[in-house]
Amino acid sequence: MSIISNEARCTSCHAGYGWKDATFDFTDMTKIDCLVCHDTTGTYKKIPTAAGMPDPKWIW
Amino acid sequence: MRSRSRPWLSYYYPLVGLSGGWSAPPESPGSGGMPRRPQPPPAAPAHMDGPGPGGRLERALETVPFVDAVMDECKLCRQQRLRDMGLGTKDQTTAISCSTARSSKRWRTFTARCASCTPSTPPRSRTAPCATTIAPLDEAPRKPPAARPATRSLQKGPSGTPGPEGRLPPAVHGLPSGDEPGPGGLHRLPRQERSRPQGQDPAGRQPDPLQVTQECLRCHKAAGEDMLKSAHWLWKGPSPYTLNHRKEVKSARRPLPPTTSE
Repeated sequence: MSIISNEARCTSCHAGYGWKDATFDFTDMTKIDCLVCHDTTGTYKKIPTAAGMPDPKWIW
Repeated sequence: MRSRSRPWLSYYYPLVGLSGGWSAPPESPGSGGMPRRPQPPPAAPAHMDGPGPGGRLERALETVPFVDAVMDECKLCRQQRLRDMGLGTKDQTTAISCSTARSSKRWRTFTARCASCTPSTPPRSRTAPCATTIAPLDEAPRKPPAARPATRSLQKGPSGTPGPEGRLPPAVHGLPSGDEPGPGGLHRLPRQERSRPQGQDPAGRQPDPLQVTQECLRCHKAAGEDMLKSAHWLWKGPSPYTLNHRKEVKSARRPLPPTTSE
């Protein structure tokens, strides 16, 4: 299993948005995923292959 | 002199009481009054019959293995050690002052139970707690939607100063826009600020995740800066809750600087 080609799956658990390869900017605060901890609805979820992005079908 | 040695005593005695089962730590009969490292009470009598003041000075400077071991012990190791002895947090009924810092200013601010050893620092002055999670909705003075500081004045009272208004749109999460603010006084992201194509967003009201973060950062910038330094964000750093690895820095995959090869 390659890290490079599967990185978006690994980083789908990262508390941020878009860590899909080595170009991810770790100094960019706007990429922080606040809701993964602070969601109050209990329905927020990230999808397993999207480098941390939430489920697009999730209603905000 | 006497008062300087007191932090050490107060730090040490409960540990002794917890770890060894020694009863009633005896007052050291030494007449020196010199600040010296606290000795284990059982060992104290054996040490006290030294050859006069000169010997005491040497003893004061020598390293006491037990104390060093306790000072170097990590929180988890201590908890586990005490747990193995059948001692828990509830076995200690009085809170004591506890610090590893010698400056008197510091140790006063720390009050802790040694069994858990969680320094209870005075709470930092809280500015407005996050309205999306904390704000009660009953007494919330309902204001027109345009009045941005509605939730803010809830915590800070009438003197609550409005934030920088108009810089970013008011945001929602957890509620579709167009609804009334629900339980928790949720923020509101305007419908027209959506950034996704209509096809992906059948409801036509889906904000971008980054918009939500931006709205959070409008008030919680410091939290964002803290997050950038945290292990949750960097996926690397020491592992303080892993036995025998608390001081080692275990790097996960260190993010490489952006390359131009792609």
